[in-house]
Amino acid sequence: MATEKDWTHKLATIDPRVIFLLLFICVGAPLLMPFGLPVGISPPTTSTYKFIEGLPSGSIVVSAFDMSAAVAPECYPQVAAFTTHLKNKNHKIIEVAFDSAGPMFADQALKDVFGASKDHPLYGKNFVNLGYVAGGEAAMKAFAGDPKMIQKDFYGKDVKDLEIMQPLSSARDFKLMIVISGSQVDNFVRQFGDPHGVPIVGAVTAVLVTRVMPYYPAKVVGYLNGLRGAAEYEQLVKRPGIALAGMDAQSAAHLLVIIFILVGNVGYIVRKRRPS
Amino acid sequence: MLGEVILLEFAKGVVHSFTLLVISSVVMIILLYASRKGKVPKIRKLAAIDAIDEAIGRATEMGRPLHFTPGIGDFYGYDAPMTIAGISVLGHVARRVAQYNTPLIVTFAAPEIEPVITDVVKQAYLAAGRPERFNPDGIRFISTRQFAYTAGVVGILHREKVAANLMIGYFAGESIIIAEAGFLAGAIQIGATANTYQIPFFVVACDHVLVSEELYAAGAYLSKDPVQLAAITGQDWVRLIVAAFLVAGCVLATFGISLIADFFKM
Amino acid sequence: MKLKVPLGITIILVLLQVADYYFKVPVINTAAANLTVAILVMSAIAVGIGIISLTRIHVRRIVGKRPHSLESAIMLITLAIFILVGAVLGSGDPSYVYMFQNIIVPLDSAMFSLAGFFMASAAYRAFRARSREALALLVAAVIVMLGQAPIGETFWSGFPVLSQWILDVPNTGGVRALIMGIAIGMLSLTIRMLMGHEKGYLGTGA
Repeated sequence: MATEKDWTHKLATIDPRVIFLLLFICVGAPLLMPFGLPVGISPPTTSTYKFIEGLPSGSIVVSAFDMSAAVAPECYPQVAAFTTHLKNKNHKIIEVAFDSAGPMFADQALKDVFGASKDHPLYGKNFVNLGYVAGGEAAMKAFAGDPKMIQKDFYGKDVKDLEIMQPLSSARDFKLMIVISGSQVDNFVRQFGDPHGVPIVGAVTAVLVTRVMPYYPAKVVGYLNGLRGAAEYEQLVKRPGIALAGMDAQSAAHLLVIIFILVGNVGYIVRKRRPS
Repeated sequence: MLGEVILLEFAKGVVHSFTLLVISSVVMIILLYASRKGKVPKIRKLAAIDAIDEAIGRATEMGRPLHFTPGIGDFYGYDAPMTIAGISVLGHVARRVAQYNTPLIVTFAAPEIEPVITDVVKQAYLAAGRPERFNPDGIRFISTRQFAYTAGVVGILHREKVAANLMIGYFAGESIIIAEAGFLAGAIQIGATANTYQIPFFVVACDHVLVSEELYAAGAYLSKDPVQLAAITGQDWVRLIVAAFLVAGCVLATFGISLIADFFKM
Repeated sequence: MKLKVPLGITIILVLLQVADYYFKVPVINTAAANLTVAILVMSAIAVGIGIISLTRIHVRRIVGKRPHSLESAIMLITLAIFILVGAVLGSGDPSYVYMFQNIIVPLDSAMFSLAGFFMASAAYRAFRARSREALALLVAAVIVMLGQAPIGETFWSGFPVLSQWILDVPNTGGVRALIMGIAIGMLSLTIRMLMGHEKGYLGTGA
């Protein structure tokens, strides 16, 4: 007969702190001692890569930073990887932020990939950081209607003096928009994809991917699925970084959660089947 | 100028959307007017809403506070309807806690909704005949930063040992953190959001959940207002119409007839 | 009057934005574009309202010597430093970026990382085979978790394929239905607001 101290009860009611501790070890240990599991490339990542590859050299690509600092560990490796690809293909990069933390990461991406941001000789010709536009979806709508509505870039330079911005009259001039977000992509589809026909790529957290999938491949031409997507893209652009390093930790963590779920079910099912 | 308005040239690719908007609006408005003539539709029970009274009762018995949050939404953008729906439910909750003298804590992340929340709660206490029980210190703006707000709410759940945690509104990544913190604090929890990818987190961590558009029905369900109930029925009719379009489109497309598919490209 | 004026403003502005989306009429499109810029200004002002509200709450706590007034003081000092550095030197200045990278980023990331820990404990508690549906959910969750992590491919090459199918077919179908339902719900709420039946956003005094 099942009692409170029965092993089945203990299996079914493990203290959450034990789970937290083991998860911490499972994530931390592989980061210190990686075991180098191979990472396959998923179709949506391949779609993203092929789309950027297929753009004519010098195409205008917008990186829209709708990310907060919280999702940086997941989204920034994606940014570094695709910005490297854009640089390799000589595309022109317009970085704009719809979250107040975005411009800092946009600046960091330019420094990591190009070596410098505002002081780079190609700043203003090949890439620009327009900074934060407050107002959420209203700001997106305004920017889509007239990208030159932003008067000064993140560093205080006049946008009208920047060569990269000259040919732009509306979002129709964007050949691709890469949305880096931890909250939603729908608003970008509504304001850029539908009215102006801009192809969209989602560089999003793993949690948000299920929200992006309904738009793929019609309105969202590809997406990067969290840290795994970043790791896949790092392989494609041959720029191994922190995302690839984190895959072992992700594997260990997933395995631990599965083990706990199975253990909990063993305890639950055995208890349920015992005669009361 | 008048001539330009009368001609009404459509923007590219929106004719199908406008047509569906007009059909949906007409259906809902017809049902709204019908309800004014006394035809009150019935809607099914929403267990999560019925559980609000249970949550309030629990908090009252234990002498511990009830925590309500409409999430991180504000009054502009995609999250506005969810925030408004949450505040509608807050009005009902505030009236009940005023009757039972249950301590109420309301937290939120958007400063522009503070006047509305304060007014809603104060009016609820007034309507319950207990204006003296209204405590302005219970209305707490935490922070506009998502995770600063989360840290504040988690701290409140643990320090104040809340007995009931109601999360009804717009939630993003903080949903699982707040819900699990509420569980660890021993609170009974009701979660509701229309942010689809956060619903699973509420399902695993809360005792009761309102799924997607049930959040919008909550205010009508609680008010028992015939007009609002009619709007909910209107939603269901529109859903049937959309489903009919989808099924018809799939069947026709299977036989190579692209009539409906072409309509959706107009 | 208390209801009619804000309701009237709501009706005009909603219809203007809807008309701007659907029709190419220069006078409407221009008015909507100007309105959008006005919204941008208002949302920037909202940030200021937030700062004032936050300062008021925490100053009251410090002056009243209530519990946690030390934390309130630390918060206000940090807020002041960020505002001064940002306003005087600019948010692109290395000092501001340094503070952002070393205070905001670690704090925000640490809080978000709690989601991982809490999700693990919630999953352990929630994924029990209580019924056939719960068992199906459990099996799907295990397959997707193994498919999304490289270790799954190491066990069996079919896990990523099966995982992608679960996400692409049943999951996407369900999410599409939810998105459509939510859009209809939002339309219903908007119509109730425009007809004056939903007054929550005006405060119950209206």
